[in-house]
Amino acid sequence: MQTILDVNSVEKSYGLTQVINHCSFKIYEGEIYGLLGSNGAGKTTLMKMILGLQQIDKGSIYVLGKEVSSNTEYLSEIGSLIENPTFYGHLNARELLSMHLSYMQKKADISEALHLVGLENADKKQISEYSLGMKQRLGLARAMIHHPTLLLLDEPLNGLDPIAIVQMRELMRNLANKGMSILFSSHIIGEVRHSADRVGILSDGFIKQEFFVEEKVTECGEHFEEYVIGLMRGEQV
Amino acid sequence: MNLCKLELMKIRVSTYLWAIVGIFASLLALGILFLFILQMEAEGGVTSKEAELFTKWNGLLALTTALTFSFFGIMSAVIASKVIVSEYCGQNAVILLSYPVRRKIILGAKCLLVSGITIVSAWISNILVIGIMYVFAHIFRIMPQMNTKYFFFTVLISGFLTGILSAAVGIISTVFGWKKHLVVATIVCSLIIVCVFANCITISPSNVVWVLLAISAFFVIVASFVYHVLVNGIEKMEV
Repeated sequence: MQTILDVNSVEKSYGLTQVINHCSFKIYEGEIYGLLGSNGAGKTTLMKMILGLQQIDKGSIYVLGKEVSSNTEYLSEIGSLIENPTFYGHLNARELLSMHLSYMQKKADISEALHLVGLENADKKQISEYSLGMKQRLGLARAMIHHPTLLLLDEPLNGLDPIAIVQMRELMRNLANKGMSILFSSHIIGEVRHSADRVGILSDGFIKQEFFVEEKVTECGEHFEEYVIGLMRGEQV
Repeated sequence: MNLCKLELMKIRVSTYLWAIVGIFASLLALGILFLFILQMEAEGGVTSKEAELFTKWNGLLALTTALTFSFFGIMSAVIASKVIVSEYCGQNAVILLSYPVRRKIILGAKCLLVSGITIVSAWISNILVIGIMYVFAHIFRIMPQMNTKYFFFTVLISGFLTGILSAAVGIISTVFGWKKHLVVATIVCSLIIVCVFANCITISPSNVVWVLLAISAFFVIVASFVYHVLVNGIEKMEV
């Protein structure tokens, strides 16, 4: 399988605080990788480093074999939903996605993207009138509309109702089946368990452990959650 | 140009069009008032030194140009604060900086948009205001006539230079707003610049074009320097 993302011994500090410390992991084609960590573990920082929004102090990150540096070409292969997505309130969903595609220098079916996230009936409405959940859906549509190879989703299910959460899980699975690789972060174990193929526990600034969800669930049974919490706390399990 | 169009999509153009119309109306009202000041002075028999500005077309041109510069300089800073400062200092920076377009090219498009809107609107406004004043004065024989060709040429040049000056105010103010992460800082900075330099335009009314040319050259140099500071900062910016 082709390596889509290769994070290689990356380090990042803010002043004297080391947030990311020798962090390494890989994501392969068509894989959903869940990055699990407590609040402030450095999940968002890691994603921002992949996008070139934060500089890497040490180590390297490769996306499709190209090193993340001042070069911006690789960004056309990435779709992202980082933190709470922000939009231009006076635009409608169609205008916003059209603008996004122009920046990405790509063409895509806007109606299809809106249909996938369940916003097909709200495409003419001004974004300022959207609810939090609708904005989250639109953020997801913006992230995936240009058919990126790698999708970065930072806590993508925030603000969604239970039905929308199930729909999003199905959508992520469909995209992965089509060959898209997805890196998504969360601090909710259940979310990662139901959505990811492989999980990396981010603690003390590095990936403390990686495992395939199905294997670990079979191995731990009903103690899966306790096992993961133990890892997140930094305990030796 | 495509990037400029995309930047234009991000703002409510109608808001700024109304602002431009408002500024034009204010300038026109003030310009016509200037014509009446001469009349009032003449009727009262008062000939103060300050009134000399209102007795000749060059003086009126300098005054109107100074006001145009003040209004459009602040408007330029307001647009720049929306298009540049609030974009890079707010949450939009996350999406803006993750596009596969070089950061300095996006910034260039933003500056071009701000400058373009300011130069065109200030130029047209200045020509229209002085043009209407000229027609008004001609019909009612308020002011001594001037060589129309020479006057038209002077208005054309001074209007364009005023546009450049106003655009430069917007760019220069932006760097302060960006450094402070405050939209208000951009506008306050433009107010300070405008207060200082608007007075300089009226220093020598008979040489208004040369005065404008000198100030414009100075402003363009400062704005270029500020633009490079901004480019370097945004290239290294972390969000």
